[in-house]
Amino acid sequence: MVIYYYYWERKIFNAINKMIIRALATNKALLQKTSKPLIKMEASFNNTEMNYYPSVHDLRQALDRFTRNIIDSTKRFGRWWDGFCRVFEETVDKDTSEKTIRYTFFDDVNHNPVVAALSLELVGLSEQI
Amino acid sequence: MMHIDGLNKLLRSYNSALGDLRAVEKKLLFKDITKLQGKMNKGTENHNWFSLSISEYIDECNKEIEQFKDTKSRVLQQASNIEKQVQTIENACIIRPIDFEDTKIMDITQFSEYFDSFRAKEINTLVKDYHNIGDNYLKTIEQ
Repeated sequence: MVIYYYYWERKIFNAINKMIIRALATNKALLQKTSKPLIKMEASFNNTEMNYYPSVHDLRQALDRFTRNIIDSTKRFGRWWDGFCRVFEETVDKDTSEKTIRYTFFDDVNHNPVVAALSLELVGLSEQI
Repeated sequence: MMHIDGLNKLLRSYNSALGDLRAVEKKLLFKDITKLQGKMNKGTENHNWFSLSISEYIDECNKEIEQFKDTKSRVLQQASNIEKQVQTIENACIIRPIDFEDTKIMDITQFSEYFDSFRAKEINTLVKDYHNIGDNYLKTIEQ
């Protein structure tokens, strides 16, 4: 059965990669869309200063978080125990009370060159704001 | 002559039983294939063509082939279920579609909520599908 598990694990990994790449590409298309504004910003004039809400910094952070959240979705897909089809269970961190899974597809997807290149492009796009 | 038809049918049945298996399924069913081949290999020995053992050989092999086909169809059925779940993950769109013409321009909080809640819901469903692969389909094959 072990070989069969490896076979399906590889197929699942490829499927998750494709899902993430499609989402990142959609995100890129959203940010590149120039025909209509995507996010409302308010500006006020105070003496000689222009104030923006959200600030450009906050906006960039929000867009970067949006991209990061897409890739972080892979942290929900726990890996199987080696040689089994049993998923690593979610555990609660004592200090942060955050639910985490010890081994997920995140590291491998994050290191995929296509995913890395798209993430970099998205960071570049948010910096253009 | 009376055995030739039976032997031909047997060989056709044997070929069809093994023919459409992928390499990985051949490895998975290695023990069953070896057992079946063990039975079939008796046919390579010399036989007296009037011997009663030939009908016996055909019956035994047919029974073994049917048994193998049952196991194979169970494996292929589960493999097809797994394939469907994998396809669902592969084709999933986790970014909520947006119609720029009909949607009011959102502020940053609305923007995050619009996309994040949808993505979280989709991922929850996909994770359930993923768990199903190991917990149900592969477990059934294991048995």
